[in-house]
Amino acid sequence: MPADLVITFPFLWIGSLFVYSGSLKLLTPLDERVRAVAGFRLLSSAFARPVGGLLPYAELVCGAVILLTPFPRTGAIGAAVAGVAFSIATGSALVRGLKTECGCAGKRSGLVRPSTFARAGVLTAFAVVVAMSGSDRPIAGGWLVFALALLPAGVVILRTRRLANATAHRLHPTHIHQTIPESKLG
Amino acid sequence: MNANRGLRIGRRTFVRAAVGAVAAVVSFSYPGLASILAPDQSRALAVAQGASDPSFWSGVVTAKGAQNLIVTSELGSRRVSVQEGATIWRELPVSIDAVSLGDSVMVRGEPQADGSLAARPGWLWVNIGRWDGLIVATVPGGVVVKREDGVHRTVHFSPALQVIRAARQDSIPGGSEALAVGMQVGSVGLRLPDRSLRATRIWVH
Repeated sequence: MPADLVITFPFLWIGSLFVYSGSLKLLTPLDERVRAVAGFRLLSSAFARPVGGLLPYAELVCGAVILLTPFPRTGAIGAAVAGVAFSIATGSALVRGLKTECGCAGKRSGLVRPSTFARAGVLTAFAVVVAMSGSDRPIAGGWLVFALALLPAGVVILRTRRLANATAHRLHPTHIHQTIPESKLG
Repeated sequence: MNANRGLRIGRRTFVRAAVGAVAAVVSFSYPGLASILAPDQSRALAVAQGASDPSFWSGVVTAKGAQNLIVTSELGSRRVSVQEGATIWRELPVSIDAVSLGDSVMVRGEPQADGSLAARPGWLWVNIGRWDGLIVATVPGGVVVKREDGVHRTVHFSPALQVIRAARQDSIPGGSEALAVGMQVGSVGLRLPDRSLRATRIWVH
């Protein structure tokens, strides 16, 4: 039983991370996704576009296979491949001193940092371990985790609509004069 | 006895440490999640501000006279009077002649008994916009700034641009040349029809 938990936990984390990340990327316009991929300066623009376009779908499929199907190891193999690619991309960006967005969470992404590389490394290690030692059977609680992983994307959709309503005709809220010293305006 | 006293940790300290540790693990495991789940108050602030400060008004110009404007917002309409010869901000100092119907206006002034607002000279801003965030790219004559919610806007440089340090409020040597990818900035300037901004002031955090 403890051994099952040790294997199930990484499956749940990897699956939910891919569903979370893929769904947030899908809410990001294609041009911004392409710019995030191109920012790593590893792919030519001809390749950056399809990668930026397909990556969210690949992540969602990967997460869904892990969490929702009886073949989680297959999904883990896909996650391991993606993890290696993420590790190479983030590691090379750090080595070259590039200041670029990681693109991990679509519009919510921060710049590539050592923690980004560390996360890619942990993801890869977990994915390799569960792909090699896990069994192909449905993950307990997979449906629930899948739904929870989609929640942040739902929150973003709701907030984007609210913000669009509140700032429909302006770039900024009307508290501009509160947040900047008035003498500094203009 | 002394050893036990040395190990004692306050409940508040323990809870803070535990919450911090959980937050660190969650933000490592799911990048960006903390910012998504943080409270969103932008709309409430936008509405509350207009209602609570009688010396401030903002909205769209729906009518115009020789020395006054009717400015309409979701809170209602208000007459804004402008002294003869007073300047108005529209990227550069302009006169009331340069204000058109449909322009977005923000104004601070003296509330009058009839409910109108007498604009202070130089304190009426037309189509002013603000954009804060992270510089993610540079373009000719401007930068691309990503706001906290992930929306990108191009911030062009106005001929009247000042680039300052936010903390010290002094100019940055090199001006716009000093702006680079990765800098956290705020900017105000003229909103352009394509939803970009021509900044007259950029402050670097």
